[in-house]
Amino acid sequence: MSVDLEHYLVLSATLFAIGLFGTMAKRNFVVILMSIELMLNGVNVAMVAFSRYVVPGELTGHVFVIFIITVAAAEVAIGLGILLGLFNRRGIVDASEMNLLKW
Amino acid sequence: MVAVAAFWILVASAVAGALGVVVARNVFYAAIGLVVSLIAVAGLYVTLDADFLAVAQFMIYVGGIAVLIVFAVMMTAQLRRGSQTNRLWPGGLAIAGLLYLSLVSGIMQTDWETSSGAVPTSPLVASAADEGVRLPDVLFSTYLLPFELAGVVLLVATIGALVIARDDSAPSL
Repeated sequence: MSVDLEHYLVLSATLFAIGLFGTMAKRNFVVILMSIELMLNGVNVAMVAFSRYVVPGELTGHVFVIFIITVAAAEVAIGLGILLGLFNRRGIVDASEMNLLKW
Repeated sequence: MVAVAAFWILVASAVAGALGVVVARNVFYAAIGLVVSLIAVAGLYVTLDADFLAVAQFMIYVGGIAVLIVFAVMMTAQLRRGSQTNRLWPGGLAIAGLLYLSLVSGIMQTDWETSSGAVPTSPLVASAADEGVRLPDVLFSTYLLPFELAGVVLLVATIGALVIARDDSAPSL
């Protein structure tokens, strides 16, 4: 059997669903950030697979992935900055204790 | 045949690492699961003829982001609570499962218009004489403006992260 577009898309959906579950169900802020990275990776796999199987020769999906990686790096930097700021000032890494802006 | 075997091994590692992130009780083990998953995805890029992206994934995600996350895990290690789930995790599981099922059924039912065109020459090894588009040609012509904006995004993120994470009690510069 050969590997087709569907295989990559199902893998992409699997990674995205696992990441979505982690984002919604975890308390630790670092683990939530990791789960967001998993979701972004799932999307990247789908992008590259579409680029390879639907428009081979044009690198549109590759360009998308480069920008997604850039934004993900920025997002992790900001997220960990927020984490360290909260940890230094209030000593928490639990997302359900981050209620300063809750009314 | 080797490519198919490699694909399934990489898929197994990617999914196992991803499951490790959400299942592991220890945050450090979760980080290791993330690294395994990211490396497997880099390998999948190779099977998709995206050599440059595979190298970029390896350098930026595994070399940069994963190390950053491990640092964060170590700096917050005083709190030995581990990686717990919150009260609403069954709901999260249900939503994620429903989304997964609908995505998979959508993928299976769609008749994808795949092109059987020539395999693109991979950007890293293609010589100037080769036909086909190369990544830098696209990135620095059609997508030049987004490329420049990405630089601005990174600059803003760097400064923002420094400002947010700065310790207020430290002497100001």
